[in-house]
Amino acid sequence: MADARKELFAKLRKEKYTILVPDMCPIHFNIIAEGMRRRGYNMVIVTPHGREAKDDGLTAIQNDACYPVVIIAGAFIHELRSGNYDLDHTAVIISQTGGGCRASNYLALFRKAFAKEFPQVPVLSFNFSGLEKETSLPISLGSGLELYHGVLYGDFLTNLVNQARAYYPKEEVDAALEECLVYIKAKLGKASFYRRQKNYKFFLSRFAKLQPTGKRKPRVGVVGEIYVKYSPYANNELCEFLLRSDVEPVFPSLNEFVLYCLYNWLVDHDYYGRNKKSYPLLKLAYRYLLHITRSMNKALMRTAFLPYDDFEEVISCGKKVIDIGVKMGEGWLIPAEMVCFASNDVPNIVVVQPFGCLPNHIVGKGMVRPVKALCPNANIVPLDFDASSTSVNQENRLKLMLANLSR
Amino acid sequence: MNSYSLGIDVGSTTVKAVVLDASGKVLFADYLRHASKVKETALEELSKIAKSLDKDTKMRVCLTGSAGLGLSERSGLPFVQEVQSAFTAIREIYPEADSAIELGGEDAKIIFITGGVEERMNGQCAGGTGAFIDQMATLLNLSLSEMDELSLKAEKAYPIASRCGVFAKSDIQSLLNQGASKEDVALSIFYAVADQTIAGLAQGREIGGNVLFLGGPLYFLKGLRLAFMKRLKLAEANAIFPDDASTFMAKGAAIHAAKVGEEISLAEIISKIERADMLGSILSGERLFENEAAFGTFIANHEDFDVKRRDFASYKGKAYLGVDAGSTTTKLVLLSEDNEILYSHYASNNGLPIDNIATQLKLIYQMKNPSCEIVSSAVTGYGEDLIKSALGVDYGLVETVAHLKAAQFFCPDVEFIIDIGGQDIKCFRIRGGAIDSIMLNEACSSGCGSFLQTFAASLGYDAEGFAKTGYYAKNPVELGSRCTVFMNSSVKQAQREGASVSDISAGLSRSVVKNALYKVIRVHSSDELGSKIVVQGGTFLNNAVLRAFEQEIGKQVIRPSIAGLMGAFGAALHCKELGGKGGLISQEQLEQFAYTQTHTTCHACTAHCALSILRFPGGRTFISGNKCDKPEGKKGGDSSLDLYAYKRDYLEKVSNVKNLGKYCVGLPLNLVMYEQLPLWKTFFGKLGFGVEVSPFSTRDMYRHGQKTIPSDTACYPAKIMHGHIDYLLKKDVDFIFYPSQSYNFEEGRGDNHFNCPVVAYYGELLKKNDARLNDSNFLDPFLELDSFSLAVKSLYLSLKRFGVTKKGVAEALREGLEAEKKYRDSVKEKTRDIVSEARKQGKRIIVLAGRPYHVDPEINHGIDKLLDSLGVAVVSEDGFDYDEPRLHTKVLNQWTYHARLYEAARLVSKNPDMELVQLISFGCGVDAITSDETRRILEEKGRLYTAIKIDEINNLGAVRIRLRSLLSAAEERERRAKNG
Repeated sequence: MADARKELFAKLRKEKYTILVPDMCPIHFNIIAEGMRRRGYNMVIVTPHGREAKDDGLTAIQNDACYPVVIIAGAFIHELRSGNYDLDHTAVIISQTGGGCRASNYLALFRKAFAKEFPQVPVLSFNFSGLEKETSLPISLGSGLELYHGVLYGDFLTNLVNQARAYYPKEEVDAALEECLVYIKAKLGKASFYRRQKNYKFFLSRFAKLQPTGKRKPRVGVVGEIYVKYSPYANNELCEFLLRSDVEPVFPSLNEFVLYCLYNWLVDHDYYGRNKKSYPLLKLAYRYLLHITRSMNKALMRTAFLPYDDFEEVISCGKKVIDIGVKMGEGWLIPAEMVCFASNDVPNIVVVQPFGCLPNHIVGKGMVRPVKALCPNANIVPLDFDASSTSVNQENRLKLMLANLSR
Repeated sequence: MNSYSLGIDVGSTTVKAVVLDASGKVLFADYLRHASKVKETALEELSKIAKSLDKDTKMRVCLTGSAGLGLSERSGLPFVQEVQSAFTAIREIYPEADSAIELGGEDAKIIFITGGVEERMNGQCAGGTGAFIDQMATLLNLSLSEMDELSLKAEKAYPIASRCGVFAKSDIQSLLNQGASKEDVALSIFYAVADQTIAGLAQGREIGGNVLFLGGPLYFLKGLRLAFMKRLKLAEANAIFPDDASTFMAKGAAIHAAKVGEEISLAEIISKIERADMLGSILSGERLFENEAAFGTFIANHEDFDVKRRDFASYKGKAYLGVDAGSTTTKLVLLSEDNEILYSHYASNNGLPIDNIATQLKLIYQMKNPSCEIVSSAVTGYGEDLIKSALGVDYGLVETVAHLKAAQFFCPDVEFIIDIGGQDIKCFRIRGGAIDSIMLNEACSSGCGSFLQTFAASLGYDAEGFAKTGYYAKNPVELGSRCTVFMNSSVKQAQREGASVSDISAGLSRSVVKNALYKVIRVHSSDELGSKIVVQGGTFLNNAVLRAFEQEIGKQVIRPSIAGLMGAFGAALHCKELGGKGGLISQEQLEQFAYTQTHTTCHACTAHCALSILRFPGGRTFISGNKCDKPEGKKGGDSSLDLYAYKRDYLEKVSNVKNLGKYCVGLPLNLVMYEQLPLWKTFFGKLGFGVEVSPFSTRDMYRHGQKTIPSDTACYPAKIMHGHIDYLLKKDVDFIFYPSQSYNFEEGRGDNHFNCPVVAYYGELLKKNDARLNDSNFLDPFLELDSFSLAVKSLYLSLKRFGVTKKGVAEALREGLEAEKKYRDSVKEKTRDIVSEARKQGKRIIVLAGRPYHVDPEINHGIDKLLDSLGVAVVSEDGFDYDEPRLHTKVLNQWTYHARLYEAARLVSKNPDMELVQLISFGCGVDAITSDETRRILEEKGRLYTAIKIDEINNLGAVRIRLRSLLSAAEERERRAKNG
């Protein structure tokens, strides 16, 4: 089994396969894909536009499947049909968490959707749960650490960008971001890539003139299903909509989701006696990641940029409304982020979810009431997304939330 | 001076404008339907204003409404969200209001004012809005005002699902088919809307004090007003219905503008709107017809498939009558000896199929030549049983068979049949002359003919005229392929972006086709349909739909000219084959024909079905509304070969064991508790607790818990949970217990053994959404039963304040697990018995595969009983010991309940006398995955796959057709296998 995998991935490198990656977090994936390219995997991020990709998804995937899988599949298929790729040397990759929600089944749906039209295109898995042993991207400790730093830098930059964009023109912010990306990508493969404080300082120097000044705009938090939350294509450009509406959008860090997954493994041990052998190691890893996460916030001191919420604070906020045993999908993290936002001056919150998302019945809409009971000033709007739905209704509901902004 | 303010409310159907002077006096108020011409209509309003006000008049302006947002963005005029403008207006005009309810075209809103301001809007999939009422009126073939008047004369109201228009339709259809009066149905619809708004939006928050009612429907419909007042128990004095309700939001926008806006001149406002570029990024698809020549060729291509007609009055000889009593339409065909059509009829049955057919029969008797004899007759469709017993029709046949017969008449080697009717989509794949698989649209994928019709009406067209406008559309809008509600909002968006009626018409035709292809049939490529395709059903008479269909699959198809009559035609062919029986009501009897209708409640079992009894001359009766055969005194199945009944008996016995103790625990019999009842009942009994178990679910129970449901789109079993909680709280239990289990039992048949997220964590949701629950009276400890000592620890921690010891908990849990094993073993033993007995009797065995909680009589709506009455044995997926090597599935096999399902599919595929029917709760995301996999496992072995989606609606009529089709297809195959 292990050999088959080795063979597959050696082939991908040797024959210079193009590996298509979904566009979840544009800034993060930009850095990470560059790192993977250096490692011989030619990763290309697919950034779909317009309705076509969604329509392709609707015809390829059974429509009761969730929204993220429909549009990612649509984006891939649209791309594969474009004629821009040598189909015999193209693969696609998606992530699997291995949790109890159906998201872990995306891979099977993709294979099925591709079977007729693109049988030669391998569907690869990216996971840390030991799933899909033959087709999952091998992650060594080194590449794992690089990936993780890609996440950290992506988070750091996204945070700067979102805050700067609320006060400065897009062109100026984009220019600063571009400089930072060029800088950090050049460091890939070098020891200096891991000198976080120094790199953060560089980023801040580029954003020094883009610090929020004057009266702070109201901040609006966005929580929800991970893909819909981050992908501008999936959420109908929610971030831009909020910026146009004269508020400051606040997205939780991607790192928070990484820590959440790791933390759930610890909970699985405490609740059900799982992961007995790996427990000490997992715990160590968790403490270590938490530690380096905190240094990110340290870098922001003495700037006007606001940091991300501390993960342990997020956990304790979560415990106020839900049991941390709720671990499928984004699980307890969603209500935790809501409470944390509401208690840290971000009482206006958008909860995004794929239409009919099972965990979100519980942790999204199901937790609005207790969050409001705990934080009476919370102003929450749940939004459903679906490949056939349009932005009119969503924008109308967002407008209602924005009309009731509380500070 | 001149401090005027202008509010323009652009909603989904109308534009409203209000001008106020400095003192807040209304100078102008008007509303116009915009028929998707948003910009033009707004300008029309402005030109009306310009007649009385000088164009240089300075005013402050504000737009509002769902389509107002687009106009605002494109014209640069300020915008205020409509709920906000309503709130502003209420504050100013009705300071005494405590809350307000507004129903709009496609939105429903509640504003709470006193006791904490809160504004709520319906989610995008919620029905119960103006568009919903319009749809229902169309269904009843009434105008809104007629429906309103009828509702005032109603005697009783029935429960109708109001969450989604599509569901409500099913409920209403079965009510109408059962003979409920239009008056009662009209009232029921208004109650449904009130319930939906109150339960769905208020979600437990009390609506009291002075309530203000806003929006068109509440302004125009008296019956609806009364329904709301009654449901809210409001006195006349506390219900405020403003006279200017229709322009209220515009007024709010004007008041808002007066406070914040900048002054500009009326001329400037007009020019800004004139300059607004409404053309947005609409995606347009392929044109239907490039030009009239293309249309001509198309029509010529389809002329071949015609049936001969023959003059009825002069025809002498034998004639054969076929009737298709559909859900909304009645079709009738009288066939000559040479398969010529002597007479045909196609009409909406206005909810009264018997009267309609009786009238037609009278006509036929009058018209026919004295030497023409109707020798035999057959009926198919929803009303089959009713018409058969009312009019003495000789034969009944399943719809699918009728359609197949008709299609084969036109194309003997047909491979695929697609029928799109007013309410249903039916597709069959034909292999070797027999039905190979059947696909029907599910509750939430309507996109059928009636949708086109309703939409045409809302734009002021009839269905045919509307279709025609789309033929040469330049840029047909791509509208997606989802259900009606989604299509509505797609259309709204397209309108906002300036799409023309003709583009929308063409786009809608294409949507109907896409829905059928990708949602119902789920094709990945058109090859799957084969090359001989017959399309039929009234909707395909629409050339735009037919054209879109051919374009979408890239093939020419056969559309018989009698596409709308195929069911009746097939029925006529059928009775012609079988020959005469002469049972049909005679002309003389018909003259005397009358029937009476009574309503009663059945007390034969605990289901207490609401029965409707029709009595016909000659002592014949027809009973409907029943879930089983008991009230009819028929000797159908006696449940001895129904494992579902066995499980219910077992669980009922377990529930009835009396446990008394100092503290009383309540166990909700639903979700994970269904299978684990023996475990937890024993566990708490052993620990010395009194145990109260909630009974099987009922619709009434559901309604009692409805107002605490936070997510309307969760599955029905989950939503009924709220009713179980309500029941237990009223029983004064000390606490309710529902364990949270991420993992179910490890049975070694899958890659993992999760529960679905809803089953696993619904307890957390309940605790936080029913205000009466808290951490001490609702215990949902997290535990995994396979991890014994940690489960004991978790249970001990949550129960220790009741004085239990850890050792006691461990012992009780051990005993509980034994009781559980005993139950599971007995289910397996019973399964073996049923299978061997069925084989002895030569009965077919149906593995009715769902989740343990699908055993509930309310959740499955009596499907097992229905199967029992059809003469088959019923077992379930958890009754077998699967000891073969593990099945290799293509999907991640990670849920305990579904691992059983896959195994059951494999088992069925190896046993020719078994068929699998999968029960799927509507909204079950997990089953989106499992249903395809189960289908794959079965079809790989050449077996039939049948899925039945169940929700709060009870539409056994459709299910019966589905199951009978399955059984007849299975028999047909068996027959062929034997012969061939």
